[in-house]
Amino acid sequence: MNLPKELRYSDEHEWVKEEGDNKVRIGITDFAQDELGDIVFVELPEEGDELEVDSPFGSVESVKTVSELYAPVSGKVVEVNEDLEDSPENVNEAPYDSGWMIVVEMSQPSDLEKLMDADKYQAMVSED
Amino acid sequence: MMQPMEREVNQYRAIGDWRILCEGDESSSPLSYAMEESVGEAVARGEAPATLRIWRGPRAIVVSKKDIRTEQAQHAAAMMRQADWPVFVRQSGGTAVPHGPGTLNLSLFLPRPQKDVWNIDEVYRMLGLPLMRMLRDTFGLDSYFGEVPGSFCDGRYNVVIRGKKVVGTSQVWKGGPAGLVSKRPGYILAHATLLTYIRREEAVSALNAFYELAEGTKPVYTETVATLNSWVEGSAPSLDRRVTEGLVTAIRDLTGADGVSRPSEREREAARAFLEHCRPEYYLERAQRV
Repeated sequence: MNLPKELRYSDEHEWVKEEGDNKVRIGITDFAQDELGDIVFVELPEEGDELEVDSPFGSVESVKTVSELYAPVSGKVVEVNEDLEDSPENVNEAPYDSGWMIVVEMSQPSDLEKLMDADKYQAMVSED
Repeated sequence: MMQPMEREVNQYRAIGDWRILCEGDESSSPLSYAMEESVGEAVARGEAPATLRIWRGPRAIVVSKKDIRTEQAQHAAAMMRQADWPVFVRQSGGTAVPHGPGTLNLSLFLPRPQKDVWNIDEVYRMLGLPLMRMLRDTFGLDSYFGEVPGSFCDGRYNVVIRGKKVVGTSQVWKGGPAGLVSKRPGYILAHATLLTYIRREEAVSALNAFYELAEGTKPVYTETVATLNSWVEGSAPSLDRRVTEGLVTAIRDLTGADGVSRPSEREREAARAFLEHCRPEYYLERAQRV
């Protein structure tokens, strides 16, 4: 399982990368994409949408199964990976790179403190 | 010969409390689609136990969100409505499925597990089990899971008889990623549509008409699907009755539940609030909101 050390992780299997200016890039983890199987559709919010931490912000479809995605932080969506519309398989192939989903400008930067580092996420996944 | 499914039988029995909902033709309105969300929410909140719901929808093409996201697809939905094939949007994945007289739906609702209990494959197998038992015990028909390329909403967990698809299946996991443990409450909905006596050619033509208008393809081949009345004689009402009774018997045997009920008044009321989610226009409005 690939878990980059510089990222933070939510208990709903999202990764969060700090990008400066209160902005974070978000996607789902390598573990999650592997468990879900071949992803054929990604539904994401629009730029300008406000997200609330722990609320649904989109969904992914794999094996004819739709899964809800939960926001790891609150804030405004400032960028959306539109390439996933035509290439949802990027989430499987490069979950931390071209498979990123959204960039959010955080309204509560303290949300980051509740996220896990790679070791803790690894431990959570192993426990489950 | 039906595939051995002891694990799935045990999974049914491991859930102590079950509810069986059986809705007759009176529930065949758009509200019956929204009921999928309201029943699921009731299960997620713990207000209702794990539930199996037998129901029939009105004549319609039922699509996933993926299939209604483009303007062309919205246009296709409007055209199909004029052709008396209204389009409804479901929360689960996959591609378009025909509903209406001559089809029967089975929905399985499970509360989201706090521990690693089921995965996606197991939930599909749990869903298929009562249908396969009903086909075997009521009609003497052996069925199995398998892909049927060229059939509607194809996948590994079609229920297949003699190489032809008779049941399509799909799932949605609310409360976090499918197959993974989530701390939050949620529910798993797996649903199936059995083709009993719908006119196969007409249904396939409608599905292809939608896709041709939406994306310029005709993905469904008539000969890949079959209806139950290809192998079973009897009038439509008789077939409806035998399928429903056989399914209730199979479900009772698997779950140990006795009673059969209808959705609660609270679930019906909540369904009215969810109704807009089932309409293609809802997704168009969402796309235009920005």
